[in-house]
Amino acid sequence: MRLLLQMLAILVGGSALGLGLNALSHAPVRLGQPVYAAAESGTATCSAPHGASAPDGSFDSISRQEASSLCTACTAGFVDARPASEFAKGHIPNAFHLPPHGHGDEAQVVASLRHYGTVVVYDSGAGCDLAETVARHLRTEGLNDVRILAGAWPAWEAGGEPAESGACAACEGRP
Amino acid sequence: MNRRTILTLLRMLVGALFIYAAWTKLPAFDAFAEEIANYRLLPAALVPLFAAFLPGIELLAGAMLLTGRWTRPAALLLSAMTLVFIAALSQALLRGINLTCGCFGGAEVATWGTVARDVVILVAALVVAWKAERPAHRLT
Repeated sequence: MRLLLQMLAILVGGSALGLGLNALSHAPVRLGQPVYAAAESGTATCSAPHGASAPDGSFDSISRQEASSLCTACTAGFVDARPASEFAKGHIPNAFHLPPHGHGDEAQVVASLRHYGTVVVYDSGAGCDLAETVARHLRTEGLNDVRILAGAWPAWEAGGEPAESGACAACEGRP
Repeated sequence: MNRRTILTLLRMLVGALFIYAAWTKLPAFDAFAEEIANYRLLPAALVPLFAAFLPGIELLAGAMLLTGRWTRPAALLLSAMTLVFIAALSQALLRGINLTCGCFGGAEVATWGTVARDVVILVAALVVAWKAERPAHRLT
């Protein structure tokens, strides 16, 4: 009995300690906000094993250089399909965050993307097809010119292209 | 090196291991929550709570093992947690879920090797729990 009480004390004390550390953390988890898996079907960090989610050629790819010029000219909408924490660490300027499982501002994001002739989707590129999953979803929403960024985020970063960090301000109503 | 010294070192090693595991999670609780969610075991609403609780429990129980206070309950609790980790990892691998394990920060991909490592940690924690606070003559 004493042993169980001691275990319970460690459990409760440790939990309280964890809550305190989370509150002090620079990247805390929001306790009241549900956290979903990276994808609701298939694999977790990837929506599906690389190459298995859609036939090759389903989506046109776009090179980093071409995407960069579209970014500068603001003629394309950029969509980041990675998890929120990765998005917050760094993403293409003014990109919309839209992971495969969606989020509360998804309708706003899709509406905003309709203002662009071209939509460029990217993910972490680590053998994942998150971007393809999101691109497929956007196509079902009626967006026709949806492309996948060749080399994904690592290529963008390695190419020294502009980036910004932080949460997705664009998701909350940028035209 | 006698048996008692070996058990003391093992206790401290297991304690330090869990302190390190907690330490790696402290800079990014939000990323750890996503890693937990990717196991697809918990309801999404409970994931943030577990992400906040787990590092604290690892830290406190690990510190107790390191300092030798409440060794048996701390080791048993960490054993139970490791058993849950093994079950969670195994179900993910059997379901074909491709995920990072979330064990020691970074982007370590979960494999059966990760499960084997957890089994070793489990055995070590159980040994510490079993031998803890025994009379000295039983240890030497």
